[in-house]
Amino acid sequence: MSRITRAPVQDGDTVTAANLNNRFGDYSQAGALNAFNTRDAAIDLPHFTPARFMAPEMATGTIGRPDFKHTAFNSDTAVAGAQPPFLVRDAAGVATPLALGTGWTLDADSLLRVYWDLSVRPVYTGARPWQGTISDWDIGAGAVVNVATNVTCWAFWLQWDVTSVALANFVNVPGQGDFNSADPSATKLGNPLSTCGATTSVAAFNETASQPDNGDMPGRLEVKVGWQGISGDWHRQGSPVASVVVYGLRVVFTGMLHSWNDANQDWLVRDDVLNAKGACSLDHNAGGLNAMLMRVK
Amino acid sequence: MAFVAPNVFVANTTLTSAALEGNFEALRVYLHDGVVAGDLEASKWIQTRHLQPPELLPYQGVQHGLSGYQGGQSAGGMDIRLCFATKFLTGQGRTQANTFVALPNAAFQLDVRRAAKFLFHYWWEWEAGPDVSTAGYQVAEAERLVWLAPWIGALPTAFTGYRDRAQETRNGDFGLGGGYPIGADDTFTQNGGYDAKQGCLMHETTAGVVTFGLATHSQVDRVGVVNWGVAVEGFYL
Repeated sequence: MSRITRAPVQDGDTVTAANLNNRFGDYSQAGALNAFNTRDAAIDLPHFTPARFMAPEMATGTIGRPDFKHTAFNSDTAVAGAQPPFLVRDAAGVATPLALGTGWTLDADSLLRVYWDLSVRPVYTGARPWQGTISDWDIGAGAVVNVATNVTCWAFWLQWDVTSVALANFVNVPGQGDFNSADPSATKLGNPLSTCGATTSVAAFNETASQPDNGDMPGRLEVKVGWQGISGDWHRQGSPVASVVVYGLRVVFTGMLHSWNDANQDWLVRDDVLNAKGACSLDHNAGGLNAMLMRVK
Repeated sequence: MAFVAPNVFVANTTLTSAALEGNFEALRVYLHDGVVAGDLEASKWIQTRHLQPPELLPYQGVQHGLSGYQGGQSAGGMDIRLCFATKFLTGQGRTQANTFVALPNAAFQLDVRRAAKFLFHYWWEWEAGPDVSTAGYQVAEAERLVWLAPWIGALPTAFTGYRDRAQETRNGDFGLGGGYPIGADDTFTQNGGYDAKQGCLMHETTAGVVTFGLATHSQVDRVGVVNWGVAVEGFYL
């Protein structure tokens, strides 16, 4: 529809049927109301029907074992070797995924946004069980103590079920591994940085050098990490090739891990020297898992 | 859909005001009856300039437009809106105490015009303790925590609805220096009492006034919230 430029009625004009019809016909051409003849700022909230198209789906839920004072909690102990991830569970030991009803279609026009948080407490038994593992380092010539680098951690990540509403087929989300891949030297198991896309880590212990004295740090502080809240978020735009239906999400974790560089690749690998001691556990309570599907174009 | 005039005029017939007004009325309806959603989604011809610009609400720190709300508030820097949490307002560290109190300044009210989906983002960094007090009814020193929980609608929901979504930090360890200058023996990053956290809550609401805020429950005597922020994304559509 072109811009309406018909001259206005003037005094002395003859009223004709054709003139009148043409004036109404100006609004009847193909194209109807369009970008060209809709005035600036013409569209406001009342013009839109209640149907949702920007944020059509949202889901939120509590995960884990609710008890914010931590009088009761779940606990898992790190073990050596390739392992399936530990699940965030309720008081009965049942996993607590976020179910997305009959499924959300994630296509090229949509974006999945996920936010989660969880209350955790890394614990260990014995005196500095990490001694002798890769996480120790020497603080310099003349120093008499070793201080851990604190890169030893627990890792959390997201899994989704894109198979069915039964939620029986959770797999790692794209860009995320399960820390069971062999490093280039085939000496350790873990993830290269490229498959840590949905990873959140929490330090397993807190140890620092202390008592600075004229350039020397002869002391060492060891602090248990204690209960703390951790969180993560993950965003995924749908594939332009094939859409996927997402039925559920859940948070899983594993440990203990430490950083590692092999063949010029950065990795997060299992600290199996430490894991074999069975001395490190993760206590966990509750948190939230939230998801929203948004239309992006 | 294109406009169709209900009356067509024929030469040499009587022109009636009813026919003329009938066409005007049909045109008014066409121009003012709202844009059909199907037209928007099918042709996607709406440009930014066609939309009613959002309105900035400086007190709440948000903007409100036809798609919803966006924005929030923050501490504004280290020394502008620094605030505190303390066990002296929430049960003195008693294990059975469940009181949550508002985190000062960290709440705002929005007038939601129709049913909407909200994301409530919150984050903060704080330094807790060290609390080395010895009153016997308290949680053990190494297990003392301070929580920060979101609340929506009314402050009591921080406990009744969202306490399991709270995020916490532990009491700093290693005690206090006894001589001048008195303070923590070690930095908070060393003693475990420092943390920076973030959380997100999703909330669906109907039209009406809705308040979003933060509340704390502390088992630690003094906790400095050195930075914080609260923000919402609200979607009508």
